[in-house]
Amino acid sequence: MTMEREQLVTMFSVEKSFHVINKPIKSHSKRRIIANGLNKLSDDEKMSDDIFALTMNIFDRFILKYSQLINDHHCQLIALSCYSLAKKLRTNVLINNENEQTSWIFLNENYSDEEIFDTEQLIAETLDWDLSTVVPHDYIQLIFQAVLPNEVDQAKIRLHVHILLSLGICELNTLTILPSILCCACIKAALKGLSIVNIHQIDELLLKLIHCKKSELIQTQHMIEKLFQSCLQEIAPSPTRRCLAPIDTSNKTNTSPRVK
Amino acid sequence: MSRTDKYEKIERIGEGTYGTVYRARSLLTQEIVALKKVRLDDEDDGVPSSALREICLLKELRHPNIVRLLDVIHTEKTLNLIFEYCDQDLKKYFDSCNGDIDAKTVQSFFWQLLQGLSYCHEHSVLHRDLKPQNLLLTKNGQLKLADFGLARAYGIPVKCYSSEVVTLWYRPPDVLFGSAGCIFAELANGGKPLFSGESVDDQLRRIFKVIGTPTEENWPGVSTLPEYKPFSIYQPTLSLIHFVPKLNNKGKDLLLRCLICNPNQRISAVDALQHPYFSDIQSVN
Repeated sequence: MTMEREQLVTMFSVEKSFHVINKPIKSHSKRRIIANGLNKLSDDEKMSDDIFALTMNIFDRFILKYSQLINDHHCQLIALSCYSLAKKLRTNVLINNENEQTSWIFLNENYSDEEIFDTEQLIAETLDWDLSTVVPHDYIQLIFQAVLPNEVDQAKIRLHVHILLSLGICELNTLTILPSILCCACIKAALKGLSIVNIHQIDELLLKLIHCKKSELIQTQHMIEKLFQSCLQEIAPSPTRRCLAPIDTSNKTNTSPRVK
Repeated sequence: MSRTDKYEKIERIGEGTYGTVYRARSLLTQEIVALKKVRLDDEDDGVPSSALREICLLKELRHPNIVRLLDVIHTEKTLNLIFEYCDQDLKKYFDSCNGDIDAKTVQSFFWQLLQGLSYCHEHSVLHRDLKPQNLLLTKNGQLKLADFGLARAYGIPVKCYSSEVVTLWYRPPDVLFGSAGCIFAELANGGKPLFSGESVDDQLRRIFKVIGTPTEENWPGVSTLPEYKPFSIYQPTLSLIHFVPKLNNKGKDLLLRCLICNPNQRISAVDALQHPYFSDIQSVN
């Protein structure tokens, strides 16, 4: 077995160990607003998209496990702390020191360092330090290598896959779909949208690679396509914008204690 | 008994990338452990990212050649990481054996290092700070990779892995696997580093003098890399064999393959385990 295949096998087993089965998924009522705000924040800070995906995964798992009531202020604080944890886990910290002082403004509230660090610790303890997990973006390159050898095709659809993934993660609780299936569904939707290759051939290869039910993959793909259609209607005048529910934070940037 | 009272510190044994390390005893089982204490109030950034990475990645990695994280005890002011105890690190071992390590031990340590590394790579984890101080040894001669504070999961392509992440002397031109080769050479030489550069440029010069300066011919695309700058062209010399006189021929061949500049041609940890240098160990395993 090649190293890539072994990595895939390990990643499947990691994602399954985090997957919630036989338990109702509890989403926070403000999840969509929170996700859109975080997506914009990570975009503004030029973080790679996997950091946003990990942030939302930590957020969704925390909400599921945390039994106390969470008001809006606390919910945003939790979201920011999840983002801070994801950055600590996935950025090249020593190289990205300059990111430390970037915007911590989120919606219309300010939070102190202490509040964020205390909440980081609450999250880490609640999730028993199981914070580093697999996100859909981790699969992109491995799946490309296996099913889409043409590098020109890869480059063409990569951006589309990233946008569809961000959209999916903004709209759908990350605990409801396995990262590998969400990644494949977005790759399929992007290939179909760009009419790049024969979808039926890709279907077989993908199913063989990730061992999921065909119906599940198709259903997820349809969900992503539907989300994409409805968002195209919402944001028709500026189709390139990533953040789908615009949140204006620009007039607040000078009031944060974090901005030096 | 509160959770922090479960362990009794015996003595301070060193400083990690973050926090102090103690030899300690579990009051429940009497087992000797290593306790790494991170003071949170000294930190500007809450839980340090190195501690966070170490905890989260080590929770996933369970392998005889990777140090086991046994427990995490979190109090208001400190974070205590409890690890299995190892008697010494490879650096101290080098100091104690006065430049003479027998061939069997060299082979066994390098085999174990590669086992640990290939398990990490299977789990998409890069250690990124391989050096003798981070390789621990037990009384039974087991070698364990430790200190994952600079490690990261590498599912996605990252712009640049090198720069500042690896201690200079063990930094290969690309950090992915060459560090293992440097440690192999150091093992074979009984603890003398292969390349002991004083600065980044000096280090690269010393490396290139032995293995040749990378050029477009032997590494297509090298000149387009982000931090590329032209160096004097040194021809690859076979003098590497003079650097490791005690290593047998198969070992020298493996070392050369570990130190190839172009990462696409350099041998991987998994392939290195299949190399004839290890033929006697392979037949036992």
